[in-house]
Amino acid sequence: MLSSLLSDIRYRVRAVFSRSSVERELDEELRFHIQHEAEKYERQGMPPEAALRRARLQFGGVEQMKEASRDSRGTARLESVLRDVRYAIRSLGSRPAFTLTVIATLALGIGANTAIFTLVDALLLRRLPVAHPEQLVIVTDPTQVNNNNVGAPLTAFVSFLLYRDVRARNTVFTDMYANGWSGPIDVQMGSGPGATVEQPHARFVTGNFFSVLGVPAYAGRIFTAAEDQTPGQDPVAVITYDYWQRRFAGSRAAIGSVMRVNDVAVTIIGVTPPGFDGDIIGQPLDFWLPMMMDPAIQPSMNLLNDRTWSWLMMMGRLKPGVTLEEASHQISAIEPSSIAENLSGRALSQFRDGLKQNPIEVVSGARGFSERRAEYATALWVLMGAVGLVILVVCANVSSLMLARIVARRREMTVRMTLGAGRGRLMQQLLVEGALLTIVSSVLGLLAAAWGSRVLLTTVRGGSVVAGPVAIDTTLDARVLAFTAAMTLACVLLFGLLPAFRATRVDLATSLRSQGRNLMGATRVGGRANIPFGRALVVAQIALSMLLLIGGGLLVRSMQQLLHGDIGADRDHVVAVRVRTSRSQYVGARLGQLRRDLTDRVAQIPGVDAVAFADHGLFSGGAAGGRVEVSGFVPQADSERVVSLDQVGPNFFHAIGARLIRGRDIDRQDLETGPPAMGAVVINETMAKKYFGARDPLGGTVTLADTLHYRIVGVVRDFQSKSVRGQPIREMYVVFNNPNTGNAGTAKLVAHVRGDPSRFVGPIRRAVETAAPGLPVQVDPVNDLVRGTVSQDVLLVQVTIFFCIVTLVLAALGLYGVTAYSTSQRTSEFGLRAALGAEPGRVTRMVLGEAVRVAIMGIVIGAPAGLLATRLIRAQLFDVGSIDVPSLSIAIGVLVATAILASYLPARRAAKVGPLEALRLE
Amino acid sequence: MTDDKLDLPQGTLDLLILKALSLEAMHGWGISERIHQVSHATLQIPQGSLYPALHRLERRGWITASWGASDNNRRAKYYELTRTGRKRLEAEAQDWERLTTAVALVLRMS
Repeated sequence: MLSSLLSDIRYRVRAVFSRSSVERELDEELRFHIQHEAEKYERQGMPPEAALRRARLQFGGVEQMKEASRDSRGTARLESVLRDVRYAIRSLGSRPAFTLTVIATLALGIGANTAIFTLVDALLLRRLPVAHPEQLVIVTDPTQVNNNNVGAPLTAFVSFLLYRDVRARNTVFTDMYANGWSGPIDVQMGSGPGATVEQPHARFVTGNFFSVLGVPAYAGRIFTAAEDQTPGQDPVAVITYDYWQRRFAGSRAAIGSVMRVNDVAVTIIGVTPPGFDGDIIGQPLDFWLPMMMDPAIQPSMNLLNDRTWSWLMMMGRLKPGVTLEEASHQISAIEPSSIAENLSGRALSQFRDGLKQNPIEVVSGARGFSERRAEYATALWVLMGAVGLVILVVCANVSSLMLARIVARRREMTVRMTLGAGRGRLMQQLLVEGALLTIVSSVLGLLAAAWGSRVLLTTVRGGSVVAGPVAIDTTLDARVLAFTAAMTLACVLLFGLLPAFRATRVDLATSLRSQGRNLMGATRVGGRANIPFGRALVVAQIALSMLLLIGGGLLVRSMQQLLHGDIGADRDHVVAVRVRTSRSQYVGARLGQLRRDLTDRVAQIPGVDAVAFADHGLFSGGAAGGRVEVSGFVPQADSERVVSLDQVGPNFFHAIGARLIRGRDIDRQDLETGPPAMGAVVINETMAKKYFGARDPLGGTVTLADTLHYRIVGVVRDFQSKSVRGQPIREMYVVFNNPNTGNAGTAKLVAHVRGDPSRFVGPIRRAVETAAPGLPVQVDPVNDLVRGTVSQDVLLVQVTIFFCIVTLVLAALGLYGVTAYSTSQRTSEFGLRAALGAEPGRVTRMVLGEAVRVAIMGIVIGAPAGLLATRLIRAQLFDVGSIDVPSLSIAIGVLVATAILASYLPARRAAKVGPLEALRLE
Repeated sequence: MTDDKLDLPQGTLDLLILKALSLEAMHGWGISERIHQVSHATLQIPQGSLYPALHRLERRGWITASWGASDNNRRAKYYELTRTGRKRLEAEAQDWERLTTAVALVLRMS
């Protein structure tokens, strides 16, 4: 059976690929047969010629027989397709301009779509590369990936003891694991002078992390159940394939080697398979540590025994037959009861109130956790929509080009049909031609997409120094390929075949007659060249371009606002300094002294105007809040008492360039007094309005957390300290005189400088290093930090600009194609006009005028559509109105200019047509 | 051309070709002549269907073709039975026997 199948294949392959020799052999064989037959008749006494005739007659139709032989080879269909491919290549090659335009257009459209789909797929759609991802269930808030909070117990992310309770009490999961943010860690490789220190991305996971996910070791081994039992007992790490390649060049020797993580020796025991970089999408990760190692690696925190310390996300694997709803139901009962057992009084009632507002959510974990997915989702879907419009433009373009070509080939079609070619044959030929174009374009488009999505991501990374880089797997996978292929096929079928179908339905008699008459030049003069819906397609394209340009313009304006707008502080002249003091001698009072010393040191640098220390500072991370009681204000609800909070040193507002509306800055004397005595506090404008209204806030008192008392010494204009977006919130800045409060591991400074802040990075770093040798220091101009917070906006804007350009180019190509075609069809008309004395300038103006009219029609349709569509991107915009006159007028100008540019060449050609030339052409 | 010739029933051409080739390798004309002679000029292979049939059998791997020299040294394409072809011939011949016996039985029915 197999051998006959093989011989069949071998036979057909030979029949197709050495077709000419197979045909030759058949010829020879038949000739041989007829000769023998004739000789036989000759032997019977016939004269040679009669014998040969008889033999031929006897044999019958040689051609029919050959055709029958070909059929019995089983390759007739394939051969006719191959013939069409050869024909299509020749015919496309003879019109390189047409072919290149179509291929470029399709490749652009397919490439753009694929690039965006790659991002959408990687961030929004792709499932985790683990065993049965559909069984995974996320029990915490999937976006709370990098959080760490001390206070009332939370359910969005949880404490280790709560995880233990939920794991022990639930009956819906086969098992569940927890995964927590490591905080900043230093890793030292090697020892002695050659040692390097770096800050890779690590996470603490429970020992069953890999077994719950079903991820095996690619090399070495994964954690065993015993390795996560006793705190500090098992200093081991599993690293990702990428980190293994990047840091150890994929060397086997890496497994078993030791790295020092925050000065703890940790042995690398294994590597995860390529493609698996954890359960968090869009965030880089280098290695995992057993959760029980946390007390050894982060000794300053008590993460394993404190119910008020929430820092873990949880994932479970459903038992067979258990539904998500059942799991959700059970977890929603277990978790609060475990928390409630350990709370009492007011804290308990507050927790119950909070739970009513934010009930516990249990969601599918198939696509993993992601902090960025939510941030990007809207933006990506908006982009996907924009790109969908681009592919419409592409289809319109290709379709109008194909139509123009088919109209030009009508005569060829008619003649071929007259000669007896079946309609099916013609359709097959057009289909082969379309498929050929599409395949070439798809391949080019895919290459462009692979390159494009990588470039897009690297530009974003290059733009932001500090914000965590976006880690997205952009390798083209089968799904992306399938998406592209399906899209392409749809395009071709919809816009390539329908016109082909119409073109082959020609009425032979009238078609030949009318073309005959056309040849005589009797008709057509003065008549409009008609490409079926060609003009309408161009109008539609311009309208789409207008729509995209309006959206793009708004996004660009919004990005300018984000990058350069007023944040209430002097963003262009402030430098932020962060010094890591964890695991150093600087604790308590010594840390307070260090902050003061560093401030003095930096202040001595020439060009530095003002320096201040703060707990969080400006765009340097960290946040705190608290409940306050304000003199003279009676709160209606508990939420009215919540304010955001920072602790700042003397001269802080001067150092960040914020404007004090009333009162004064924090000063040196304020450091001397503080809670429990009355400390100094500056409140922001929003807070002043909320609690004091028309009253004068100066001299009023604020009590924080029922025990800490402050007197208001100043009111500062609102400024953004964490994110450029978002409404100003109530915020107050209390004197930072108790070194035991606030962030223990870091000393932060802000310095106001004269001139370019990047020039001060070096001097400030040196000053800090002399004052406190050996501590890791980070110095950044605040504007860079601000940019880091808007990197995803920058990505969106860059992608949008790219697509606006693509669409414009496409629209220009379309307009050029249609104008060029219609002017070439009207050659005789232009000749006649020239003969009647029209100046060349008038003809040019006429053609240009028509193009501009088309453009204006498109603009008139596209503008309102664009204004409507911008409502969709409202959430992405910052500080820009819906109708932005500058960007709108730029869009219109660009489109009209494009129209003129695209039709200039054909217009000039039209003007050059002389009467004789026109006659000759006909 | 002559009156006493029979049209071949559907499907028997392949069987006849295989049988003709079971004795020795032959070229196309030889096959048609051999069948004509052996059947005492009763069976005339319709020449239009001989070559398509040969190609079909070759594709199925029952016969193979090779070029060789014929009488008076002309190049000719010789067909030869393969091992599968031989098995096939046995099977088809048996089927044919059973069929004709059965048909004859029915016809002899009185």
